[in-house]
Amino acid sequence: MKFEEAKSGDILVLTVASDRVAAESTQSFKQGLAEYAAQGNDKIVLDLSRVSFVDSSGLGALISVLKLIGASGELVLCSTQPNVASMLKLTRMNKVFRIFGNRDEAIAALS
Amino acid sequence: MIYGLIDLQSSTLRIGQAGHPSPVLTHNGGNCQALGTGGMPIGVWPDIDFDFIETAISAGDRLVLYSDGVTECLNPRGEQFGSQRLLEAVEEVCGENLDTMIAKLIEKINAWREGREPDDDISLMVVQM
Repeated sequence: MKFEEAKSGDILVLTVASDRVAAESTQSFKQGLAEYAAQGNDKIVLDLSRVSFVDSSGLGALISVLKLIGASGELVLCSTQPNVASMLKLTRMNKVFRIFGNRDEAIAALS
Repeated sequence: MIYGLIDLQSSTLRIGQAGHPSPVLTHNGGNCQALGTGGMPIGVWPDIDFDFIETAISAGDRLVLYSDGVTECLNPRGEQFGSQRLLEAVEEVCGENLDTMIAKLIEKINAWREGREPDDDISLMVVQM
């Protein structure tokens, strides 16, 4: 799973460079995010603008990384497509993750 | 996961919805309604208040349960079958006998796929009260 990286101060912005976060890619997705977290990035904006589909395993990977970052850090989501936003709402993940309409709003919230 | 209790004595259906897609309840071959709005999946956090729905049921009502592989089923253009389309499909076929209803729902899902291999299991169950 590839991520495009950008930095805004101490905030790491990662754009998921794939249209699917599902069973076939979950392991690399989780591993990639975990590596960023392990490097000390504790403020991460995950830009999902290119992702049109996340399945339950992808959701599990997101939660797993959120727990890895822990209470002292933040993993927020932005730019979710309608299908993904709908899934996050169905599973109440909108109560677990802060989800922003766009990257700028997400960065502003973490600043 | 979804868990339900059908109480035949009180004629009520009670469902606990843990991140599972909303089932559809049809009333005597007519009115169809999606039950619930979702809920947090099992195992995310140690203490979760799960969403519960309780509704009256009558003989002849049918409960359509399905895996997310149904609503997330993609056609070759990458479009999902979706919950609205499923609700409309159920509304269209709910007046048929049970076996025909199930067969027609599966037919609609397969027609949507246009031969594209499913990415997830497609599970569908209809319970008639």
